[in-house]
Amino acid sequence: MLRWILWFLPLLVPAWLVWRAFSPDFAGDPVEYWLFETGRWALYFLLAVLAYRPLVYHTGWKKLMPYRRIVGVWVFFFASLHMLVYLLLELGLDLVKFLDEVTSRFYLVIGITAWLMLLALALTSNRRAMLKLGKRWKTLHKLVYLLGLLATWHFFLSVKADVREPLVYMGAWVLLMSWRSWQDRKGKTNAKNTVASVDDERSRQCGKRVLVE
Amino acid sequence: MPMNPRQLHKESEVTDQKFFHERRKLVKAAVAVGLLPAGTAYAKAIELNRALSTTDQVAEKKVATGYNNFYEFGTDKSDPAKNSGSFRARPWSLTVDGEAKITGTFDLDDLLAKVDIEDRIYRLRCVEAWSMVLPWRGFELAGLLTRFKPTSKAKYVVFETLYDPKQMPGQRYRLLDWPYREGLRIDEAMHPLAFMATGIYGEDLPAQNGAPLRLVVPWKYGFKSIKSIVRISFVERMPATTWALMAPNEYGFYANVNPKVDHPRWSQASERVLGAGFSVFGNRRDTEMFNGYEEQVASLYKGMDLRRNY
Repeated sequence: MLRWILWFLPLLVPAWLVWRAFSPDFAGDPVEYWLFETGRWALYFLLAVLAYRPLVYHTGWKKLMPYRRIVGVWVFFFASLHMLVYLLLELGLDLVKFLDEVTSRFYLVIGITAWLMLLALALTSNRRAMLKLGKRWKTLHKLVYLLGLLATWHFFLSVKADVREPLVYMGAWVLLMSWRSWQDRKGKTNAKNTVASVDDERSRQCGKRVLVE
Repeated sequence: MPMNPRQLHKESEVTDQKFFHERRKLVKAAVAVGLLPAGTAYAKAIELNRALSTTDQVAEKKVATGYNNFYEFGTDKSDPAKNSGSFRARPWSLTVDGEAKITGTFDLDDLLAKVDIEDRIYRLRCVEAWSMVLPWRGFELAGLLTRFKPTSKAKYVVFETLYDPKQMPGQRYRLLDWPYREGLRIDEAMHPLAFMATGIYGEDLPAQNGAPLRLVVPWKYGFKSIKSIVRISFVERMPATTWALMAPNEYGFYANVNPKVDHPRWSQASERVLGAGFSVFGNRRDTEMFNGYEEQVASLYKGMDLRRNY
């Protein structure tokens, strides 16, 4: 039951963004507002996905694990909304212009690449894909780390002068990446409370075996 | 008696003319019986300069005064309105120096007493590809500049914004090279369209719009329309300007609105019109050469490569 609620909870965000842009005290540009906010939410959830391992490791809250996949799909949801706002509201659904822009402006090349990666991850975020891909599933989903770099870099390149906010997210990505490489070096990947062992346990509960690192 | 801002939105000639004449009579009478101080700008009726105004729909005041690029108060668009509480538009002095016969530091109100105030409705196009139609109140820049008798050495005019981190909290960070500096070639500055605004929507400029004195150059990108001016200098060589120093490959000295020359990171071929109602496709409009003022200013740039001189 809780799972179903969590699947649909993110829909509240676009509803709120639309409501906010049309409220009487809003004095801005709705398109710019939606573009930046959808991008931000995609980044929040992306960093949340990357923070899963450290969080579970340090708190032992293994119950959080089943929801990592949902959070991952949310990243794709917001990134897609972000792209849709750009295509529809910025470019007026001009597909030719869209293709021209995303292939010629560097920060947009990064953006579209990131979205395509997210698409691949979203499409394979189900049990059937896990089974079909086997060991390669884990490798594919390691792309999420590269995504952290691409998404924050895209943000950094898109701002005019104030790079403080993008730098904060990049800093967060560096921190999470450092934690990961520190963990790998310490060889703790087989400890009881790591994400890997939790995945193992869960797949056993589902009656299916999934190869983990 | 402040002018009803709604009058600016009406396109009906007859009603407006009638209103202006009625109000002029009323104001004259009020001054005569001592209801209004004689020295104020209102003693002379403020008219709309129709010849130089656009008939496009004027932006909603709440958007014009709530969505601003004024990094001196913060980098969010809503920051200038929020963070300008400490800003004081008076007392204000303007320093004039450089290649001119008359230089010095002047009290702003003394200078304003001798100018003809009028209203102009101009399009403003930001380099970020959004635009607004705004009802400015002020005077022609040329009228002010000629009073200082610039010499033949004066090839450019430089403007400088206030530097005071106590009043402008955004200046505590070296995000831009404070104080903000902008400039025009002398013929651009003397062009009839170059305007100095002291008011908007029939009232004094709010802090976030560049109180108490700002430049409005409608055929150039908005960052050329420098706000809260404290200094005007007449110089011989092309001056360094703040955004051109910040990112020289993105922002140039001339910054003429040009749909054919893209910003390195986004297209300038179209813009989103703000404050004029919402449309699903974002109120997109094709950008016009010189922001639609081509007829009036194109001659200033005859023979110039506007791609190189961006």
